[in-house]
Amino acid sequence: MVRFRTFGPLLVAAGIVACGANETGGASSGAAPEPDVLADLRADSNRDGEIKFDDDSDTHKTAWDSENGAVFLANIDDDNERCKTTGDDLTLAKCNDAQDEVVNGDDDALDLARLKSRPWPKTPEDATAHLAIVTEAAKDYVRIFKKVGEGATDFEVLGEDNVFTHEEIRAGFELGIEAKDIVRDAAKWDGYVELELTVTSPTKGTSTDVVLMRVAPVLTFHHLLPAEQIWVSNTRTPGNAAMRKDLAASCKAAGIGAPKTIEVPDPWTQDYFEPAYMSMPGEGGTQHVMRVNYRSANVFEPSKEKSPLRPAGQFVFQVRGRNVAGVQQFDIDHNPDMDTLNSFGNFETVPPYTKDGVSFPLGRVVRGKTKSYYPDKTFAKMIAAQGQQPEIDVDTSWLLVAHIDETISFVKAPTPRGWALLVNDAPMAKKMLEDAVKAGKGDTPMFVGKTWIDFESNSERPAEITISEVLADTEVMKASAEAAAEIDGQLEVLKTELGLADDEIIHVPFLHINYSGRSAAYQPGLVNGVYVSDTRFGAPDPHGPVINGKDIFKTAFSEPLAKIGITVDYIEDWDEYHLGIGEVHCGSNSTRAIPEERWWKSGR
Amino acid sequence: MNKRLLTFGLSLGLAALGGAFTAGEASAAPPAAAFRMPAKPFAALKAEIGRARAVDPRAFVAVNGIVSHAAESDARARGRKAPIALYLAKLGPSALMPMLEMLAIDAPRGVPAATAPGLRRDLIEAVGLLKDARALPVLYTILEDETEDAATTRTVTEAVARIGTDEAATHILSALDASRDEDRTRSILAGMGDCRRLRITEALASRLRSTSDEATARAAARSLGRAGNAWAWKTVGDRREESRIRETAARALVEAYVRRDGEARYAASNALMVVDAPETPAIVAEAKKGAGPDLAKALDALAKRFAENPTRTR
Repeated sequence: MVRFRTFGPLLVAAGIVACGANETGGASSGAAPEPDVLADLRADSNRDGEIKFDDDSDTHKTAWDSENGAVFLANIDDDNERCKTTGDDLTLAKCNDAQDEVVNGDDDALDLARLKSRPWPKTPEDATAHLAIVTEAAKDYVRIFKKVGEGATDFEVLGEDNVFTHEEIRAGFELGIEAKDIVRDAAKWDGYVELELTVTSPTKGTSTDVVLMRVAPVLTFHHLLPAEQIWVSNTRTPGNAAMRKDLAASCKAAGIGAPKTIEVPDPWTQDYFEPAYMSMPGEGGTQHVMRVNYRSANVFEPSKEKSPLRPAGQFVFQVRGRNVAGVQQFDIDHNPDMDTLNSFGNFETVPPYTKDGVSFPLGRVVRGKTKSYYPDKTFAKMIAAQGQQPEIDVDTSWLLVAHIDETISFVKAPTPRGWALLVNDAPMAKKMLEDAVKAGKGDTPMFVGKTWIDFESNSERPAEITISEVLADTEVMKASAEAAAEIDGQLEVLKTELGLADDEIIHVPFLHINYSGRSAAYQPGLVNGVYVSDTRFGAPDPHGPVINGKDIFKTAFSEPLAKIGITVDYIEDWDEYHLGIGEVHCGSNSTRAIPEERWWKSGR
Repeated sequence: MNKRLLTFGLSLGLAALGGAFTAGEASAAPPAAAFRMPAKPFAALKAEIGRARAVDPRAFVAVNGIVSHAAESDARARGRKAPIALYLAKLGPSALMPMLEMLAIDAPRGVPAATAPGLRRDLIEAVGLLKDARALPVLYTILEDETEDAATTRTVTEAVARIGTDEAATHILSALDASRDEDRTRSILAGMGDCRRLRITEALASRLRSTSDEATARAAARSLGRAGNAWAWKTVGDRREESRIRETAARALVEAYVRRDGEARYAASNALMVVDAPETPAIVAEAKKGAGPDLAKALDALAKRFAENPTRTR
């Protein structure tokens, strides 16, 4: 977004109007005398991590575009870890460093973006100054602190009635700014704030200056960013243990740490939180980063007034701490029949791309959503308000779980785009099985050693089934044909939005089955895996038919990925996940590296 | 302990055998269906259930084992609804009588209130998946009960449709004709596509043409896709009506594509791909005659999509 204020720094001094604080130094022009009264308020408008008065670098302060514009953070982490990690949903969410009016330690001080006034020794003794939040909508969301000592935390809240003395104006003063919250509804506050400093001398006149700032958006991670930490729930079941074991092996092979377990009975780790971050320019061209974990808007117990949300989502407040925030947003009245769409398996981030000259350097959010079947509107509004990763909506309403991760994923690829789309292809799976029948292998079993159901009786039913039996199963064929058409519809949207060519799409074979009138993966859905590193993809073990010593579904998935340098690790997920209508991706989550790309350069 | 015991918690301990989930025990509230079933088939059903229990008591144990852990399974499933119908159907034909007993005589006891409606639908769906006409009297009773909720009506329609006898088709059409409630009508339409009978397809086509409701049009379009599903037809033994059903579905779907927009048009397009009727290009070409520029462009897109039909292997 590009934003300009309608007027710039203004100096009105006893009938003399000078333009801009930088013009009043008098060193170069020599024409205009240095004013007695000067308001020159600066933030890090050029985003180099410093506020300078000895050059013009921070003087483009009323514009906000890809080159200029100061940034500040929503200070919603818990640097001193003073917030409780248990309690009701509503209370838990309220606690963070912006909750109070004190600077909670050195780390908290670092989360304040700074503003400084130019020291102006000529300031007359009768002068005073006042700082105002001009943007009416921002007043409830922004807090200004005044530095009052040499210590890192020596800040006091700047009240609306604060008056700076002439000594302070002469010496120059420092301010800190924080947002009390992220932008949740752009119609209420769009994240921008104009701050106006006015220096007034009854005898020498008045000078005003304005700085435009913007709160950092919350950004989600796309799959190509290196995974730093894989997460998985520990549900203490054998099926869960099997997946954790294989996932750990995949992480080890990828050279990253072992997956961290989350001690909750909810196995769907992907669904109850979404890692994200916000950042502002730091010293030396760095980013000062605050990680953010979104809690899913899943309402599980609407009758519980204070704790209606999916319990496992409280994880985001358990890991809240130094430079880590938790955010929840939900409408208790959202349609319960659509609640599954609020899980983060239905929230992925397309990797960066450019199409028709329009660049999306931080990628785009992609979700399952239609006009008649949609996620929590308040949460969607919050995501849209971040303004950096415009959402792409595809139809997942035909799926029982209705998550986007059931049908697509993304991996790096040595192509100009740099990545490829993985997409479920049921016709490919059917043809593979038909080819096997033609080759005389119709009696080959799949799902060997697996069971559909688990109960302790002598009539346990194995899942094992031959290729020919699968092809003769009306329900599987019916659901798979429907899936083919529906996924083609998803693909059409993605091709249009992303400009994907056919050779940038890797087709992933597995069939579907219907339950309760909607579709789910019949075979473990290979696309539904975790991209552990640039070179390793952890996919569910398909337990496909083994022909000539090879699982034909593993081969069909591994070979095209090997061509682009990716090894597939097959992870056992049948018992705990596949039978529960999910797979490896659904059962895991990943915290990824902060991208080098600076969001403020996006032009959005 | 069985390693899978914990996996889905569907263990059936000895306690459960004689415990709260033993379906044959008295004192459970009888399902509503029991009161409305005609006396003669109801008595016959009870007798048949008794015989089944004598022959294979373990089938009752098996069904009860799954049902007793439904709430736990739902809680652990993604989307909070485990595919219990599929688990039950995988038990095979021996599960039919235990499930009918639960539907018609003794509803499972001890099931949390939040789980019970979904579990009942699971039982209905599973019964349908077994495709055994002996279930029809119970299913008809549920289908014809206008007080059932929309989700149950859709599920029971689908179950009757899957069994798919002539008589089943007649009952579905009667229920459709008798329906005066939009939600109920939509639910019947959504479920009836699983009945591969020309009468059913023609009724769906007629409703798709006549409805002014967007959601009903979507449901009818999807259901027509199901009725004409080319892949499913290849698995069916009796294919005498296949070509007429697929052509009928294709004509109605192209007409819907022409007349509607938004999600209903999208649903019609997807259903056309699934039906994959050979007449489709000609039907589209016919529809294009006299079409305005926008519609002609949309029909060209449909024709192109059909030529590259995503249900065919690339």
